Amino acid sequence: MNLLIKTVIVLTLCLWPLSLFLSNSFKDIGNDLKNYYHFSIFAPDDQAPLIISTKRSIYQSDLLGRLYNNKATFIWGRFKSNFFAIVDPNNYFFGFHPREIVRENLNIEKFPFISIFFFLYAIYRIKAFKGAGLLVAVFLVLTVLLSLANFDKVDFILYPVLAGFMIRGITSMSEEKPKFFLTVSFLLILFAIPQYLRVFVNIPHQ
Amino acid sequence: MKKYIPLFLLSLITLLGLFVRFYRLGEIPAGLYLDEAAQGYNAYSILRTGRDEFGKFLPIVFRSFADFKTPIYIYLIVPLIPIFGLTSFTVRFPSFFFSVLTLPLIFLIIRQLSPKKIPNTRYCLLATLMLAISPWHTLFGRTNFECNVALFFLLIAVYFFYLALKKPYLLIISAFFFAITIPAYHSQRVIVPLTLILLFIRHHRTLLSRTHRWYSVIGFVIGVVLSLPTLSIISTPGFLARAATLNIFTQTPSGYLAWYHGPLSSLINAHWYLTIKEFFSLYFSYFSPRNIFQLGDYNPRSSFPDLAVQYSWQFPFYIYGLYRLTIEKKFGELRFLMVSLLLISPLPAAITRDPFTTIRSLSMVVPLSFIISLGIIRIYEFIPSRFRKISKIGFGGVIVYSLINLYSSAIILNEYFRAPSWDYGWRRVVERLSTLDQKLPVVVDNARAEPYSQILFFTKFDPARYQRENFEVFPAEYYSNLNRNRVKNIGRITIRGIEWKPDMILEQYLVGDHLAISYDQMKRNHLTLIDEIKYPDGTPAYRIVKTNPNENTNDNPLK
Repeated sequence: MNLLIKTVIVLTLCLWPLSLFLSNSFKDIGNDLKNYYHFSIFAPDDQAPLIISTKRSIYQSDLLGRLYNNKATFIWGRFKSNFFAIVDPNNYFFGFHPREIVRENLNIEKFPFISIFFFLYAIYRIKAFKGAGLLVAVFLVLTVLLSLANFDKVDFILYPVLAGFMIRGITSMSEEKPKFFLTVSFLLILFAIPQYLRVFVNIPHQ
Repeated sequence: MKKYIPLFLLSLITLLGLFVRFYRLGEIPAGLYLDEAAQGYNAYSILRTGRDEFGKFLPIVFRSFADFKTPIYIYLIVPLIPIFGLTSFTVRFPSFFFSVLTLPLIFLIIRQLSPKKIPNTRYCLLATLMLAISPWHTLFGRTNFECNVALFFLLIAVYFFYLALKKPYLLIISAFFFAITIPAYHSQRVIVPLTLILLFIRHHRTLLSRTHRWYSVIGFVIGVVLSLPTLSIISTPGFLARAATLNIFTQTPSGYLAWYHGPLSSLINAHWYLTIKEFFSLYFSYFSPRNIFQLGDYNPRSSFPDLAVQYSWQFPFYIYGLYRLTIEKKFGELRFLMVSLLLISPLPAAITRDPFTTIRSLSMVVPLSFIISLGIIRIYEFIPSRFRKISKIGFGGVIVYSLINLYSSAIILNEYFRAPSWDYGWRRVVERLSTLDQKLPVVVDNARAEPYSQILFFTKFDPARYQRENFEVFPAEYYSNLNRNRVKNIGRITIRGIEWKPDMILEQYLVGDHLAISYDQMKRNHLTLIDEIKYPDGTPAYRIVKTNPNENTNDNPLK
């Protein structure tokens, strides 16, 4: 059982660093951090005033037009866009939707998709999880910070937090629901073979 | 007196939901989409002749654009036409009507299924309020979508099922509603059987008990008898048309690397891996906060501009409510129903290739409303009593803000930005054509659209004559032959692609969008611009022009 747990943990946690390493995307992280303001939600946008004024002009009430279409709502919209992408489980297990190409790196599959069951189990058992409060708090703070700018690639800093949840989900499930754990593990190993192979094959063409 | 307060509040919430859905119903979304027009005209045709546009007597599914529309909605429009006429309002009315009726029904279901020891009024009222103001449910309550009617039938069937556990004769009514839910919308072909299986597994002892046994059998027989028409065509290409074209299992799976032909191809491009992964990805996308609170439906007709399917402030309540629903087993039967609906509803949508389609997963809006309300109540319970009054006022403010936001997106922005998606302009085209020389023929271009249903609808063209003058398939091949005849004759109006050379020889009117009849074409072919119908944002929608055969004969360099 121990060997199986270790195998499952390795298969679950290796995909994201391996994808980053093979795609050389990690080299961009430094550049992105240097250009933080350029990628931030506060960065000026030539089109923004035009979009805002077009929308405002439609309203009969100027007050209503201003309430829902102003600089703040524009920036808030960017923030929400980043925030909801970061908190979306599909981002981590499926590279968003398979037919959705947002940007190259966002489509990296960060964890094998079968591992979503371990993640969900960790959330389900969160009360029994020592240190869960701290991990959730760290996740939220980092999410808010990442949402202030283009989180692409930089979101790797969430890896330790998510890995913590994954490990907890794997160990809890193996102890509390061993049959279910065996089933999920079997599926994980089965599906991990093509998923890992694709990381090696797919990278040069991204 | 106190016992009437919930009833009073329910009435207020229902009135709010009614107002939100009824305000400018039929006017906004601006335009009438081709499916709406087709449903309306087929209902009109049934009313006048008993047959659909192809002359089929009371079809089981409506052929229409060879997409085989579900029949219940169309038959519901039929009795409305003598009352309201053949209008946009009429074709959207059933959706509106059943959408509003769903609100008290949710209240009743939650009250019926809540354990008696739990004070349930606040859950019932809050969930009803969340549904009343939900952009997801409101959108389908303002437009002609069968899914909304189907959701009502599903819920009322479930409600009568639970009532029948104590009063067994109600199983017959439940079976009746389950049976008509299946032909009410495509996705219910998956949802209803799964719901029935789950309900049977959970309550088989009661259903097979001495008091219920015969009613269960009668209900089953009634269900099968009512489903016989549907069952009789279940294997035809027409019945399977939607599923066959949309499902993810019969096409190249997403992520297939066409360029890779290496030795590991059978693993790298393994269909079993890619298809199962795509299914899971699609399934989980229906629980994705990003889709629910930020992006919404990608289809411009299934979403409002600048508004997702739920309000973004509901996100924390959704997450917490979801968690509470998972761990709070005290909700018993209510928990079972909500979790079942939550897990079943995305299934029909997840086997189709679209990333997040709110039409096919509409049933999910019910558990979602309950989950959000549960999250709100549980978080409210954390608030110290001295801050509760102010938090109630704050919540009221958020509801008002959300309603104004809904008005802003659903009415103002929707009318302006989404008019092209709703095929805006055909009513004006028909009105304008009726003022022109009635002796001249008209050609309406259909290169990029299928405007014949809108023209039939707005001209209220005699269905008997239309059936006589158009042919697509023999009645025996109605459900099996998917070939189409795209040329339609509606009196002097012919719907077909414009053929520039031969069409210039005849004196006639041409109608087309700005691409079909560009200014360049008009100049080159000496066309006279009669009218230009514009979208609300001022961009051209359609042009009506008149040919000038004499000038073309003299100048045409092709001659």
